[in-house]
Amino acid sequence: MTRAQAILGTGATTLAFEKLTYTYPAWSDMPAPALVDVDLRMQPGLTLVDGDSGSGKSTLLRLCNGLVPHFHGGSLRGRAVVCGLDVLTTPTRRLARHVGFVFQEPELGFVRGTVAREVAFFPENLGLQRESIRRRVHDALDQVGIGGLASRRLATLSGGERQRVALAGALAAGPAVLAMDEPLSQLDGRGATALTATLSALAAGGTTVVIAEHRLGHLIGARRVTLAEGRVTSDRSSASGSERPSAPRGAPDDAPHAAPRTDQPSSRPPRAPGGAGQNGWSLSRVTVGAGGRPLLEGVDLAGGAGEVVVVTGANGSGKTTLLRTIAGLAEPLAGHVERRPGRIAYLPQEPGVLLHRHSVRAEVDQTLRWSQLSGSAQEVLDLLGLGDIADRDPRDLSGGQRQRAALAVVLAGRPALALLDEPTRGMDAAARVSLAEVLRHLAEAGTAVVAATHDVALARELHGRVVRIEDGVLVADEPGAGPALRAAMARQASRSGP
Amino acid sequence: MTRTAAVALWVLAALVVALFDSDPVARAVVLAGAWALLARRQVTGRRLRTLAVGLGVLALFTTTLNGLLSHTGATVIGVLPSWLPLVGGPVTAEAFANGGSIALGLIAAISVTAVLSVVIEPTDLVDALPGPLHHAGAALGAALNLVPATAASFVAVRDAQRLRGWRPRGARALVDLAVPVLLGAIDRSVQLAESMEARAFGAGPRTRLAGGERSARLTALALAALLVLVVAVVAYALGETGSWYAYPLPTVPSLAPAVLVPAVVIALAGALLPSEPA
Repeated sequence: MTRAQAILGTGATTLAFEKLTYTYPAWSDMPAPALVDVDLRMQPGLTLVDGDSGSGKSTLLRLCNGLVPHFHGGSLRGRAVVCGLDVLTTPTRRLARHVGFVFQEPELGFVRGTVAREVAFFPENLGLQRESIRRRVHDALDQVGIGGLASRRLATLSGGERQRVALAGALAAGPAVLAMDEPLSQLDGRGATALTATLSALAAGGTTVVIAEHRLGHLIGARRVTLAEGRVTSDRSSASGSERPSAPRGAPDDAPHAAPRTDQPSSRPPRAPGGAGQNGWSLSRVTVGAGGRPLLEGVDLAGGAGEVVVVTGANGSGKTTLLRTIAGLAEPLAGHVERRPGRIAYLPQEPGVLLHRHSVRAEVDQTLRWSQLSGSAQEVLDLLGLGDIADRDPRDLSGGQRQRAALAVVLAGRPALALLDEPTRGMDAAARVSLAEVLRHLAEAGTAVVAATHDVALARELHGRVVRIEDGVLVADEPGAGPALRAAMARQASRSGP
Repeated sequence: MTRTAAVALWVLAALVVALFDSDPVARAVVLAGAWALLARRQVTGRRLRTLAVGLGVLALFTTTLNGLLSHTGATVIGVLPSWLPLVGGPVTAEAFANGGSIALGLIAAISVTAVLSVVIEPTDLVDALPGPLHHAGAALGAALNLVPATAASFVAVRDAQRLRGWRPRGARALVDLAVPVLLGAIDRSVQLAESMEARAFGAGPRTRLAGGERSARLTALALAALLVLVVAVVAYALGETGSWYAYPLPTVPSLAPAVLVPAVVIALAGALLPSEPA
């Protein structure tokens, strides 16, 4: 019996971690171990890894394919065996023959220029025959709902569409173990539901699926491993064998069930459109296009100072273009844009664009300096729960922490207009609640807030007006918890129904 | 013959015709062939417009520069004061004509090269390297992909910083832009390497989904390009290319078959390129 077999034991165990403690290298500014005494065994099926931002979820996933420790360095004690291979002695590229991996910001790791080529990269590296690759690419794209985008250039895709490409890229390899870091963070409700169903089917078919995802508050049939400060604090398996509806992202983890409430209005009275103040921003008959393709068509929309507007819509529907147009970053082909004077806070989908200095605090201070504002960085850092990590290098933070840091950078100094693109990406439930509170306070102080999000829970907590865009056209514009939001919730619930 | 190789051969042959031959008619025919191909492929109108504007500016600059700097020619259309350095002296129509011919060759060559980047991905070109160089080619191809990503990052950082209050004033302001872009490029490189490693790059022999498809049209395209290449090189070696001169008076462009046929064939051969399989 080999050492690996001895660790795995008998049965269908595909991953086994024994007394595993891992610390990132000294230069990484993370002296405390990222994982501490982790004992886990996983079999084919769904395993959901949860925990607060920075709890070690991404590190645990990277252990599955050996990126930790082979790529990141650092010190590892204990044992880790994946598909019969000792992680410590097997290079990642060999483990990758058995383990598919989806990164938290997959767009940064794209290798090719077009969708089909990108998805084909993994099976190409496995040396599969061309016909087999072609079939796998086709099937994987269909599984994630972007079969029609095969020949599109990646640069022309929305954030959610790019995330689907990354998912397809991992699925196309047909791995025995599938490790996914926040795979739903940018998917719309339809995409999230379809992916959940796909993953459940894969798990039922014998694949070990390990997901770190805040959006999946509850998955019946999934084992749930909770991490806190690198330790496994709970490890629960569901009694039922069937899948339960996936919760909207950010649904409280202790919610009695995952389905959002669709029958109860918000506890706060919704603001009337434009009622909180006038002249926040407005679009009049605005049309925006790129590459001969219309991205927004004849949009008439306005928001008042102190009003919160939540923009919803499927992946690629034009939400980001709407925000960029309001910000003045996208030039309309037709129509007119107006904004109230004052600073614009714009959160792009990639938080990394905003984080380059040696600490989060220095980055927030920079915003205040550039904008010639006299406020204190500490205020916004505390509001977003970043006080403890304010002096850390943003590049050493977890995905959720980086997202909050980016929010602090743009929201410092009470902007006149706050435009936020998927602001809860990678965030845990507590951070989402804090963010909603910060945005409500900003609105009360007169900031016009516009948030593009798939996060139904955030939309509900913001008590704002909800607008919906489909294929670049405005199709709904209602006060908070109005029919559009309730319909979105109902759709999400019904699509992910048992 | 693979798609990548056939297109590369077409581009090479078209470049040879455009640059070896000084005949403006031949250059114009190659230019037309390249633009017919660009217009037929999936190129966005905006990219085409940008390319056309850039080439127009280049042509104007080249023609003007030659017109002002070269004082040779029989048809004097004006005289600049002799105390003006370099440009002082007679200005001739022939100098502008010669500048126009040079510009035509330049924009034909650039248009032909643009076809290469539009019809096949740069990554495919290096990925198509033969056996022993295959992995190096794939790695280089992935690295090439960082170039447009970094360009996009520059725009994203500039937009984000501008909205935070950054203003492009002075060297310090440029540092505020350059450092984030550089750090972003480094981060992206690391993530790219991690992503490739996680997808078994280097684990063993690779295969390819695209770039390897073969068809009769691709073979015909490659054969036509090869034929033109051979004819053009042999004609050049024998001094049979169309020699057009601007000075002292412009000669009439040659319409000899040895000059026109290769240009027409290579321009028409572009139509043989089949649509890319999805």
